[in-house]
Amino acid sequence: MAYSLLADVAPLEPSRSPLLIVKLDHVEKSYRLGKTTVNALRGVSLTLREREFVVVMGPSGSGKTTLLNIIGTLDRASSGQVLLEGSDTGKMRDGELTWLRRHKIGFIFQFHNLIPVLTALENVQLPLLTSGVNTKQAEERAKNLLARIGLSSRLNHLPDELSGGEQQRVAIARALANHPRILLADEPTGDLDTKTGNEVVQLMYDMAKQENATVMVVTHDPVVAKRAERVFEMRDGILTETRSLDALHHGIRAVEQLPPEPEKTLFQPN
Amino acid sequence: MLSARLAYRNIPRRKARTILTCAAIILGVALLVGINMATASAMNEFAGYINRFWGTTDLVVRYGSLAPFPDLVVSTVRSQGEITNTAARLEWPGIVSNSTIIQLVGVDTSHDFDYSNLNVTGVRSLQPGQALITDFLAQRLGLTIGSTFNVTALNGSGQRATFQLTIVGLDHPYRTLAPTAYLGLQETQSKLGMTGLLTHVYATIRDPSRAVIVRDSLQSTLGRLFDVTAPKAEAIERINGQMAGFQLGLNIMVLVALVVCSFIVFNTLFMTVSERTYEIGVLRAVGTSRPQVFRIFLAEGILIGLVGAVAGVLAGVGLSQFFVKVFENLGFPQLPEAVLTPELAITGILAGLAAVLAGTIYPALRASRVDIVRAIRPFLQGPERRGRHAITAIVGGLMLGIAVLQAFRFSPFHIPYLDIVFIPLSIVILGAVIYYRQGALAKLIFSPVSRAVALVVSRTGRRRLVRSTISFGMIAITLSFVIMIGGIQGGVQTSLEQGVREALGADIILVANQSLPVSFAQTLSNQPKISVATPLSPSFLPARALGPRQDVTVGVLGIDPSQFPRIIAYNFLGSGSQDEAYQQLASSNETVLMPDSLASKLGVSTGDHLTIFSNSTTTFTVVGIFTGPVLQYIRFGESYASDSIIVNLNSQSKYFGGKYESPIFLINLKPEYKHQTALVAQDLSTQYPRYDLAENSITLDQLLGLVKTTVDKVFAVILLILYFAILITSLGITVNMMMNVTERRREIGLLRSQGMSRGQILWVFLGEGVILGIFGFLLAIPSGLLLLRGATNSTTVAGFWLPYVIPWTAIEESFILAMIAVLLGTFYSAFKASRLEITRALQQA
Repeated sequence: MAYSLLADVAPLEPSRSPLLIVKLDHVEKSYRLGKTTVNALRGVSLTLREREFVVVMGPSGSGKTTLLNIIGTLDRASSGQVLLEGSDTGKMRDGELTWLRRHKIGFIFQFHNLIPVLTALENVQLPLLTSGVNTKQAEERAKNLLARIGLSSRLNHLPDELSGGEQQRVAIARALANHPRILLADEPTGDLDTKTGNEVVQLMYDMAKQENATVMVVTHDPVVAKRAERVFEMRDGILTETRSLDALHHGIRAVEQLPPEPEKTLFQPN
Repeated sequence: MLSARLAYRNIPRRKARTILTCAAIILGVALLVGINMATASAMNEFAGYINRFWGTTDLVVRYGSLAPFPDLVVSTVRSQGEITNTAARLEWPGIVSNSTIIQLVGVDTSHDFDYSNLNVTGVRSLQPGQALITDFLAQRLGLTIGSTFNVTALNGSGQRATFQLTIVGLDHPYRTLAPTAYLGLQETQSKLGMTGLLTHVYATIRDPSRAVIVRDSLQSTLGRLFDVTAPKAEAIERINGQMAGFQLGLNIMVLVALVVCSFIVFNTLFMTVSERTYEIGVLRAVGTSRPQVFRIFLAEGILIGLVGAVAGVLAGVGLSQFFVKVFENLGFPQLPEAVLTPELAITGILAGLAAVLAGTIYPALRASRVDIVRAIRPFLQGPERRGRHAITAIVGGLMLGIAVLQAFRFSPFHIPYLDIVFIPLSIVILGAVIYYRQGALAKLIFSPVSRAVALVVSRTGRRRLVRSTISFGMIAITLSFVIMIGGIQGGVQTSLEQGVREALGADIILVANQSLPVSFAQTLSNQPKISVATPLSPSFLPARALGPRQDVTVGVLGIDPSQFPRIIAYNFLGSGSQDEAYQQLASSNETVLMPDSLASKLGVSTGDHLTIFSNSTTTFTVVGIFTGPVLQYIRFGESYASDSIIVNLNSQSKYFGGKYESPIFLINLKPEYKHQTALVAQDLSTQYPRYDLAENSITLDQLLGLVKTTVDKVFAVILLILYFAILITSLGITVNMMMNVTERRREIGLLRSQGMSRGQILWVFLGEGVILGIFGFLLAIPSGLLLLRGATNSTTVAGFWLPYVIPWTAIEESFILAMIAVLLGTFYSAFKASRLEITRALQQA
């Protein structure tokens, strides 16, 4: 049942103050491009709380992906402070950052998201095996996740045997495999048609809520932004919050905008 | 022209790959040039050595039994149209004061062309009572120019003649000859009571390249009792024959290296075509024809090939110095400088170009067949085509079937070397089919390292199969030959060892500096640790056997038939038993035993009669023929054991100048002392110091060790070439792995973003390399063993029995080589992959 996913989501209580997951304080990032220095981030400050679903919008080259990469510990800030669950990632060594990515962070990218030689099941299993879960448990967890996103019948298919939407759904399952605290998605619908994009975003939203993960999505897509509890705009490396919605209100709006036959589109292979 | 320009501009775009491909070709061509320059240098040295040793002598005429003949023969020799010079000599044994046997050589000092070329200190012309002796004889006797010494010899009537000689000159020969004293010819004839008699005529001919023809002509003129030889031509022929197999082996290994080069070129060009599909589409769209596209890629190949081949020839000159040093370390004499001949340079360039063309044609053809629309719009290409495995398997299976039939000689026809080409190729093709399913192996190996690494590595078979096949194919082909050569080495070793045991299987071969009475054997047998001792007495003079097929000058070995078989167990052919043969040999003085090689030359079998000319002409009965694969390597005086007859000691005394004396005694120890051979030999040399036993004797273990060392040295050179081929393979794997990392940057970024550590990424790529290495190694085992089967069958058909010995050591060595090759080829790329910046890696589309 498509809506059961949404029904499982407990609405955020305005009175409760959720845990602080991410805190950025005056983060700057610059790098050299030939002879010029590009300031990708100019004093970005941001806080993300538990189970939040936030969207960062902005034109190409504005620094959105750089911000995502820094929060996701794929890149380091030139200055400022990045705290992940209170720990300063700027002071961490590569091994510690790897541990964070393994256990606390999930990624979804725009395209070529899956390892081409691994089946859907193996792609989801991979981060579990990387973090030391035994093969049997990893397989169970991966199967469970794939079942929840409606891909039980596609477990042993290679990525090039899956549609774009299915590939992104596998990527969502994989990103959530290790129960991350934060899910970072970079243009997750960029390569998909509108309908499939909607389904993928809805699924990401639902799954993240179920897994208690904070979600930060970088996108151009206004449809994605409509589901956001908070929307930020990035322009020339400066981040500004443009709007804030309460979760319940957002949830209703999301349901209203779902396609007419969500079960079919959400749970069956494209 | 356009093709060449495009090729010229495209090549630098992939610097590392092009450089590595060029390096592989350079190494392959350098190997070809270097090894052939070095072997040519060795051959030149042999030829030079033979020429120095024999001087200008092209032919030597003597009686088969070395008996003297009238000097009228000289005019018969001179009457041959092509002969330009003759030198008549009387060569006769003598003994000097301290029992040293020397050769007395009577020479016509004013007309002997060979004598006039000796490297002499002092006076060359000889007056009566004067002698010119070899420098080491003077050293041994403690004499110098002006000293005198006494010589005793048996004259023509069998009487002892003793005379004094004064040294007036010293000869410094190019190698150790028998201790020799030159005297005037007439004086020698007079002192030995042989006036008008000679033992040798040396001759030169106008065109030395016709030596063999003139030899045969002169032989038929002089008759069967004479033995006419062309020593230089025969020696060079013999050396060429012995070296031919060695050179063939070396060049086959060089060919393996060049095949590996072809694989690398194929791979590089194949990658280039894949990468430039869009560019090809654009070229085709703007009107470039298929042949033009073909030429563009062909030009790239040829350009790489030309650069590699020319540089390879130059590098080969350097490498030849290395091989010359290797040859010298293996015991060859100091070799002259290796010279690059124009023929060899052209061969090197052509071989390099051929290797490159072989690897270029298919990728160039594929480029010319690219579909324009699919090339320009890659998303239309869809998933890679799969399911060609059945066809591949059938092709591989058919090739293997043909190869196996050839190797086992089951097929009605035999195409030389077809099995050598088909066996490794077919196994690699079949390997490509199986490689797709190598996952279980990878999981088994890498799960202990990391289950995630194991999972990614286990799916290597799903990646670019052609590229992987090239990688493990190079390893498999090279290691197949390592295993085959290891097997041949083991087989040759076993065969020679068996031959040595058969021919000289005594625990100790005691060699004295002089002939001792054969009763010395009894003295030895009385020693507490010795079980049995028996003399092996080579006659000083050879004999001429007049066989129905051919006349052969043979050596004569006298034995005691009652004791000899207790030590040496020859393998007798035909129905007669060993005991029967020795009983017959003991009971009659007119009986002989001989090796099968000699029997075959003479055209006789067991029971046949054979006329032998020595001090008289006698008919003997052949009572036994035995095998002896190594007898051709054993020499007693002038004669090889393979060309020697065996008689009893009485017969030797009666017909072949034997005196119941022998310098050689074969000894077997009692079983409890078998492990003390060296100690017993040492004890004997201490007990009999004046016989110099320690200097000359050898134990069976030492002899076998010597055989093993010699075989190992010869095969070390062949294996050395294969090690170079492994190095080339490493270069090929490096190219592949660099491409892998470049193509999979995004995948690396994804894996890192999911929490894979740098170490795990390193392991993923090292692991993939290791899997390629293990797979190549596993394929090399059946391939190498089948090649070995083919080789042993071929040599057996050719007359040299080679046992099929599974080369476990070579197999183990192959595994180590495979790992070295893949780790060398993979480590840099794997390290680079592990250090990739994640954000940059993820930027790859």
